[in-house]
Amino acid sequence: MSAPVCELRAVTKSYGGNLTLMRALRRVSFAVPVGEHTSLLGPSGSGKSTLLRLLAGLEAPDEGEVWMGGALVSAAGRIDLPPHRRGIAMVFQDLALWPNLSVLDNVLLGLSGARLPRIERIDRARQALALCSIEDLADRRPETLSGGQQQRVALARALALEPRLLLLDEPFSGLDLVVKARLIEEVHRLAEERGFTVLLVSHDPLEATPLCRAAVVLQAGEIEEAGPLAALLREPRSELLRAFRDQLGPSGGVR
Amino acid sequence: MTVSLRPKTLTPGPSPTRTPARPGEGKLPALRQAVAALALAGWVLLAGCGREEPEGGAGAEPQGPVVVYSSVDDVFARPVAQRFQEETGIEVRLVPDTEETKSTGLLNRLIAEKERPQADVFWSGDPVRAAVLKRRGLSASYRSPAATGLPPRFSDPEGHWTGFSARARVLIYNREKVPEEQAPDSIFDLVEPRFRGQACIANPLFGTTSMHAAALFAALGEQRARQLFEDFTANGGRIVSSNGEVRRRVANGECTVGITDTDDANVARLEGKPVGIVFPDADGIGTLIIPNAAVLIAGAPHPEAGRRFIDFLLAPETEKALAASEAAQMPVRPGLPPPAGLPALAGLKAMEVDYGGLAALLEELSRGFLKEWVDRNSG
Amino acid sequence: MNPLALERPSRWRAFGVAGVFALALLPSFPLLREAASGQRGLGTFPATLWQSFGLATASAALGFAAGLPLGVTAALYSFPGRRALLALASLPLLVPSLLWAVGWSALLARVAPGPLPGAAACVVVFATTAIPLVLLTAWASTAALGAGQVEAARLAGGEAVLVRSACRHAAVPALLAAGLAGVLVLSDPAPGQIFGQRTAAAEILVSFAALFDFGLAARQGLALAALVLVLAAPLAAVAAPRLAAAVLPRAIRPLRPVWHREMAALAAGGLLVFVGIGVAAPLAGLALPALRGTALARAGSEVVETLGNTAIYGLGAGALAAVLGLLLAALAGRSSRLRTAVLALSFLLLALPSALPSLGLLRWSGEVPAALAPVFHSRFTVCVALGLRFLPVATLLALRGWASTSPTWAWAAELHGVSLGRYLARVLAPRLAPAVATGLVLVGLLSAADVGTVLLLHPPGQRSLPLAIFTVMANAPEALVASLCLLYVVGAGALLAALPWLAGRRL
Repeated sequence: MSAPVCELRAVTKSYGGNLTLMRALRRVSFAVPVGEHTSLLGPSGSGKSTLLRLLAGLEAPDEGEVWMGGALVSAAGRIDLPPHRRGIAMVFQDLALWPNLSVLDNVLLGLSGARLPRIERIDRARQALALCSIEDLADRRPETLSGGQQQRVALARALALEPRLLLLDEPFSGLDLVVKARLIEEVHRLAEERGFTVLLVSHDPLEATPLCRAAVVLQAGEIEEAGPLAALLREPRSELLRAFRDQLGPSGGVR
Repeated sequence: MTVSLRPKTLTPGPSPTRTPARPGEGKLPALRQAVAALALAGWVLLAGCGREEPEGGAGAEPQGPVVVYSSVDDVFARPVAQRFQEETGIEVRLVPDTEETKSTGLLNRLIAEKERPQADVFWSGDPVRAAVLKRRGLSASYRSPAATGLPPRFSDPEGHWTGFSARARVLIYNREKVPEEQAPDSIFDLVEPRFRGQACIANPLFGTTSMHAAALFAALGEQRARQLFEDFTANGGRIVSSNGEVRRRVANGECTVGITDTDDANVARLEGKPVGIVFPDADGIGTLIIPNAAVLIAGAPHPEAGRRFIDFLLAPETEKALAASEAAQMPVRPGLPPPAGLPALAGLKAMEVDYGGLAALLEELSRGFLKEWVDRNSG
Repeated sequence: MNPLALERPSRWRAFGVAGVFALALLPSFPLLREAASGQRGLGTFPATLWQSFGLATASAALGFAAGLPLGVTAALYSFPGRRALLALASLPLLVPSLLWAVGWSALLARVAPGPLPGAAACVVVFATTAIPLVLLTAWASTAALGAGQVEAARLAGGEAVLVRSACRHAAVPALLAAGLAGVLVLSDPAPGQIFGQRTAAAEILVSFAALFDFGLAARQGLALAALVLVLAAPLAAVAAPRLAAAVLPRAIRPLRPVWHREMAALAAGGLLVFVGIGVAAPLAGLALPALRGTALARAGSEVVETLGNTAIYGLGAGALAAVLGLLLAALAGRSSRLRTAVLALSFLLLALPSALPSLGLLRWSGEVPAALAPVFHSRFTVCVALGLRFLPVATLLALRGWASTSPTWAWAAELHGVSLGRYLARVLAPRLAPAVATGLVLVGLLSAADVGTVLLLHPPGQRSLPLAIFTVMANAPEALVASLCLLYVVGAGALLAALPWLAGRRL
């Protein structure tokens, strides 16, 4: 069996000074097997975004280890492998699209760390845009696009890196239902096609169910429960999943 | 009812209507900026390089520039500097001064530059500032050969500063409001009831007014001088910001009498204002004469050029030129023609003053009575 | 170094901030050293200081009360001549208050029956410079609102609600600007001298000009700065977190002013009143002597001779302040505490009398080896002194600019392996450019208009135009003075009017 695409071992992370110490994560451990799309669920403030940043290598854990593809990449207080060499891509909560750059330039700049000749970079960028069905928006500025289109740009920029692991931080909030459903469907298809694993962070389990087989539920920096999403939903222990199941109810959530 | 307009972070706004980028919007501003930047750079280069070029003097070899700090009004100093340049071919770099009441001025600059002076010559409008420099060890002794004919009582006995071309402290009155018979002829007249609320003087902490105040204390003694100041304000007299302001107010009738310098009074006369000039106390303590003073700075970077400039300043030609100019400064050399409309110095009763000693007295007064008096009488 | 370094919190940031301010205080050091020596305390200074503080507060309050609604409505509503009126209303920023004081004094002399009480006249003149500062800040703050939010407020309760809400939004930056204006008032001796009003700045001037006592002046300057710091620190603490809220949401449409008859009339009317009373009236007072014959040729030659130096001093100071301000903003980063410290220290810097660093630099020239002395006697030094003096203005703008960037951009750059240099050039620089450019221009204009520092530091022969005007003012014929002043004001006005065209943005 191959090593998990990413793994956290007893990771702890705190913020704040001597007076206001806030523990964002408390001895969190879990692993994501290759190809097993996982959702990270939990209410706001439960530490989900922190976890993603630790996985990405943007911050170092206070205790514990972060492994990727069977190699140690971060340990207590240090980052051994920088973010751009981990084979990850991330779509941030606010998309983090660089302003003053066109859509194509955003993707191109995102490839600048790849050390490819310029022609190849342009090629890869256009391919990524085509993957996300936004080739005709190449010269537009992100501020002029709709929410769904901006999402696709962020996705294209991430996919251009040809990552092994795609981190999605609440990417679908604020989109209307049809756009959201279409995007989720596309991410699923692309993941199968290009062979990357998805780690989806959300506070809404409804976004996770079409895409992810496994789930990890965080509460106040600790893992409340983890496992196959279907099984968790049948017998939820966490408050979040219980509320979700109750809301759905026998009639599928319709009053 | 108010709506909170705090911009919310990290939540997407509603889908905006698409506003496609206007064609060429990005290009035009960049062009304009480039044009503007080029124009500005060109102007700065051209204008910044421009400097007063010395005209070739008759047979004189140009030496290093001479740096002159001048607290004399720029309008009067420039023509003199220009002539010097033309005659000797030595470039003059003039550093002007603002009125003391407006900002910290040249004297402070000289004091701060003591360890490494930039100035060669200090051309002062009054001897008290020159004496201040001497007290602080900033001046060098230089007895210029051109100083022949200048009365020694207007110069420092040790040669640190030499007096020439003088102004005088005069009374001015508005001719339309004050008939000639009632014109004041003594500074003590300013405390008379007939001028109640009509008199003005400049702030006695600054400029020639401060020198005049110190001279009064020296001439009258402390008690009489204090009494005079107190009577002045008791009579409704006003303190204004500068001699120029005194001139303006008397000229337009806001005040009917005031004390100012001869060059201010002369400017009013030249502008055709209805202003009469009186040299006060001809049968009393006399009129305060305020000569210009030329000082060679100790450690000057171009001492030779500085000496030549001082020679030029002290020459009779300069006194004649200053008398003829709008400065209307009275030559202190006997025998030279006075400015138009002003008497010769010889015909005036000059106040007996130890100019060198005034500096110390002035400092004491500025910390003491004068400061307190000004504070009491301003808002 | 990677992009993440720009966003990572670190101990070195505080050291960096302290370092920049230490650098800014370095010129004043020789005189501050003298402040410790000398036996005479402060004399009557504390009483005068208190009185001056009253004047400054009144001026700042007036500036805030008038400038906030004027700026907000100017950003929200369009009306014909809006750009011209805004340029005219900003004129006092370019022109030393001395000119307005002289103009008012001359006007009142002809028009008013008796002399105006000194305090009231001072407040009027001071408010003339406070109002534009607040107005421009409020305008910029309102213009940064998104169209969506403005429309939402409009729908919620009409124009009245919109204006009230926008005022509340712009209140804190406007308050900061009013505070800055108040500090500038405290250090300005001219109006007090002209209207016969005791002011702290005039006292310091006396210490320099009548007593030549650097130590006393430095002590008084320190007392002034300490008072300002004590009052500014709470203001900075309130304002600093608000600066963080300038981060833009995900999608934003720029605000465009709309036409609305009543509101536009109000906005235009308000601006007209200010321009009429605050700008045109004193200008008339200045110009009246010129009616009786101008000396334009002579004035013109003075202008031509000094324009180059004026430009150099302005641009040099502006560039230095813009760069240092940006550095301070980057160092303060996302930390609210550091931002508070930067704001409070900026007020302190602005409060120190400008003669302290100027004379201090001259003292330095005597203490460094002879080879270095020419540097202290060059135009570069003038630019340094002016740039450090007005650094707070550039810093405030840079802080706002930095706050409009998102840390996630650096995270994304880090993730994608974008180098620091490329990140700075392609992502940050275009984003920060407007704030930096505005800082450069504002500081440049304030520096070009400065007289005190230039007088003390300019290399012999390299005067600036304002200095030329002020050194002839004393006894030149009124016509010459008036012509010079008019030329200066017209030139400044033209420059202001050309700015939006240069910036290429629709205002």
